[in-house]
Amino acid sequence: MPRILIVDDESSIGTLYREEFEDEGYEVKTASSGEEALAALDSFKPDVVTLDIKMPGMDGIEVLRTIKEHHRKLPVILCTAYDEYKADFGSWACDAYVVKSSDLAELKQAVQRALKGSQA
Amino acid sequence: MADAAALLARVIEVSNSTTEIERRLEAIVRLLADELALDACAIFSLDRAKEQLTLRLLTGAPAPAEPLRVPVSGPGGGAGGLVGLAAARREPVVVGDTTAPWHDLADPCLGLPADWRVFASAAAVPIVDDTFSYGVLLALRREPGPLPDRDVRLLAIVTREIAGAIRNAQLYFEAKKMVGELTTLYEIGKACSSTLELNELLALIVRTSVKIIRARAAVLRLLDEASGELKVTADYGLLDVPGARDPIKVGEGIAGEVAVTGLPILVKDARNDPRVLDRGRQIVSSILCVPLTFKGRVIGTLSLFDKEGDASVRERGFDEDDRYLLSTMASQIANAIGNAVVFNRMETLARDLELKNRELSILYEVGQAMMTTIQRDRLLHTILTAVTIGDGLGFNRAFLFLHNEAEGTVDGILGVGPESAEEAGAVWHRLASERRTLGDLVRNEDFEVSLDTRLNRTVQSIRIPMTDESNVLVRTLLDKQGHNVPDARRDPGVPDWLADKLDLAAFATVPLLAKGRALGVILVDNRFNRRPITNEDLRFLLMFANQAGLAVESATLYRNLEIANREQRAMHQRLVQNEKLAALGEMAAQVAHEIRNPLVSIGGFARRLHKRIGEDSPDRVYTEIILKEVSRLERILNEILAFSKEHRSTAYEPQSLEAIVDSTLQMMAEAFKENGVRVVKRFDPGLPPIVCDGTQIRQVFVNLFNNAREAMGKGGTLTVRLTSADGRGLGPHLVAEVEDTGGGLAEPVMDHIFRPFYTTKESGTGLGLAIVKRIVQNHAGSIEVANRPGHGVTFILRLPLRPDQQASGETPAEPAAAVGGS
Repeated sequence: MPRILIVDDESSIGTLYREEFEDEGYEVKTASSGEEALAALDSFKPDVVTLDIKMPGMDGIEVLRTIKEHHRKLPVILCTAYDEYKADFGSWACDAYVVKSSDLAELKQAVQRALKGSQA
Repeated sequence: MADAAALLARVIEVSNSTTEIERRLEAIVRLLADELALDACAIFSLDRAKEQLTLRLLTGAPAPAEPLRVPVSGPGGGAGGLVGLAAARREPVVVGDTTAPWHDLADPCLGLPADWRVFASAAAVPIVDDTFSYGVLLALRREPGPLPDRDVRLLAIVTREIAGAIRNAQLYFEAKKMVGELTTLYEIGKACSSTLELNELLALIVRTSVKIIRARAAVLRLLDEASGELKVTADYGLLDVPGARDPIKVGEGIAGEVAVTGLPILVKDARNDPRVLDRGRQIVSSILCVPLTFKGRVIGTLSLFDKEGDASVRERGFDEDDRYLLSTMASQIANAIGNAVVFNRMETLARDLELKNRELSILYEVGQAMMTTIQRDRLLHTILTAVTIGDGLGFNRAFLFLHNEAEGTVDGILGVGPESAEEAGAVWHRLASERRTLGDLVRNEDFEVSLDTRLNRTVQSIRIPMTDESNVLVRTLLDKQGHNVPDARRDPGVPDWLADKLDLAAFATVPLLAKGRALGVILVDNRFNRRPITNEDLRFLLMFANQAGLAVESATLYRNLEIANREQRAMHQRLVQNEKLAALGEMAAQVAHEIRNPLVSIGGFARRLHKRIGEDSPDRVYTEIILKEVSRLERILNEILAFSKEHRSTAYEPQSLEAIVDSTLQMMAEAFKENGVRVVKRFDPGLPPIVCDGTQIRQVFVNLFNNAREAMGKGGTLTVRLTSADGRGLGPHLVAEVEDTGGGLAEPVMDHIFRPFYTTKESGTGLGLAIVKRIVQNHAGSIEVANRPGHGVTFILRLPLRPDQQASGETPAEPAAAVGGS
């Protein structure tokens, strides 16, 4: 059962993602800040991470950089309301960039691809 | 002595009376004859030269048939007899027996009429004062024996009195003459100093001389040096006979002789004088002709005919006094005429100057009119109008040709003028009656500026290659000089077709010059009044064309400036529009981001709810509505964000267009399925990658597919074709066609579909296609719409493989105009 770490400061989004991905058969853990997410990496050992960018405290780009420094192979999907960060060099390290939508089809596709890629 | 004293008293009384001198002398002579018992008495007058005595008065004896003249005797006696001797000696000569020699006189009666020899006793008493001799008084008695001394002394006293009377009369006459001369001089002088026309002056001269000299008629002739003829320039009182005013040759007739010699001629008996011309001899009795000499040269003659006055005066005709007076007048007259001629020449000069002034003022007015007429076509029309208005240059017709440098031709542009003689007459009459100035006409908007005239159409059909250097229009452009063509049909520079087309006979051409460059040619003619075109006309026209050329040049510059201004204004407007949109986008983006997160939650949970509710639950309708509205809100958000993102830099990289289109279709597959839309893909194999911003291009297809899907709400077919192509100013490019079967667009809608915020849909921002266009432009591509009303719409996108090698940033402001049916 793949493990997915959802990082978003908006609790309702976290709840939505958790329920959706649990329905899809994932083991889900949510974190409401960058610091919390980094702390959960070692204990939870996710196979994939979805990461919001705009958050209080550490922002998603910073979290991404930290994750990639220590867990190079861990796929991270930036999932944000903004698409401008695509132009940010810091975002290039991510495995996918998905603009948030109430339809989670694109996000789910990206997660599946990422998992497939990391297994290959 | 009492008698003598009484006689003297009577004589003095008579001589001081106010009657004419002749009457007074007559009275005195009769008085003497009575008182002194004389049988006859006569008075002789001495002429100015004191050489001859003329019988003036006679009483008691028959008058001689011929005028009686006796010479003044010399110191040793002579032909004058006792009368001549008395005048010479200034002493009385008293002869007791006239039949015998007396002292030196062999015949005392020599020179007197033969029938006077009946008088045996004669006494000749000189009429003298202290200074002058005036004549001789002759007293005659039949009875021989000398006149008593007492009587002779009395006669001497009486003759002194007579001398006084004559002197007074002479003085009076001189004074009168002087007054007359002064009057003449005054009048002539007045005429000279006034600004009288020469002709008026001459008329005044003949009238005045007739009045002063008292003649019936006068003729003033001026010498025409060119023809050597004396031409009658003024006359007064001339009888209406044939040839009276004919010119006469110098040397011919009296006036002709005077003109040669420069001396006056006095003809007392014109009827018998061979010098007088035949035609004059029959009607004129006396002639006085004097030369008019100005600065040593004879410039003409003044002739008087037939002395006026009582019978005796008329009989005697003009005399030396008249000659003297007229000569004096003539010198004044000649000066006056000379000055007048000079003045006349001056006036001609002045007229020339005035003409120049007029030309300048016309040029000024035209210049003013042209300055206020910046609009080029109107200016050109103004120029031609100025050339044809009577107030201006006054040609009948004018045509304008301009040098078309791009094509290397001379092109007919405009024609102004009536189309027929009838129309010309009507137009001229109207202009004359309205008395409008050129300025009025040019300024007046209602003046027919109709360019759609037959004349204009004819002119505009004319086009002559610059290589045809024999053509007069081309020649005018090349040599930059005016050409006066008196006969178009015979001029090798005027081809027949041109003469036929413009109906040319005599015409002239001048170049339209601006700063030494020939812009065009003005052709003028006087087709209707056939007035010949003079060199003066041509000169003025050249001057005008120079001015006009400058105005045209200015207008052209102004027009270019105006175009530049207009472009700048449009550019500015676009910038402002972009700024507005950018600001709007900025704000929209902020709002959109704030909305997106809650929307994701709402939509996400609604979706979950929807899945949980049983298929047959009535609550499903509610969740469906929530989902539909959320996805609509999200779509709006995406569109706004995409639009606002426009001005931000984007990342271009080589991408596979098929992959982009494929993934977009895949993403929307569910939506298509829901609407019953079948998707057909026609991708050419082996398409090259294109350099693009994948996200933006994906947005293009998202928008186009959404449009198609919405157009086909009740199902249909979406066909997507991808091909490669080259050309169309895009270089190698890919073509993507998105075709729907949604029934097509209404024509008015077609015009606006690419405009931001234009929408026909109940939902939607109206940004979809505006974004598509913007993105395509950013990629230096193009987009067209092929509308098939009743069937559907096809969007055709062309995207260059390397947009960075296209002038993408400088894509013109209104590419919509370039993008087909938009």
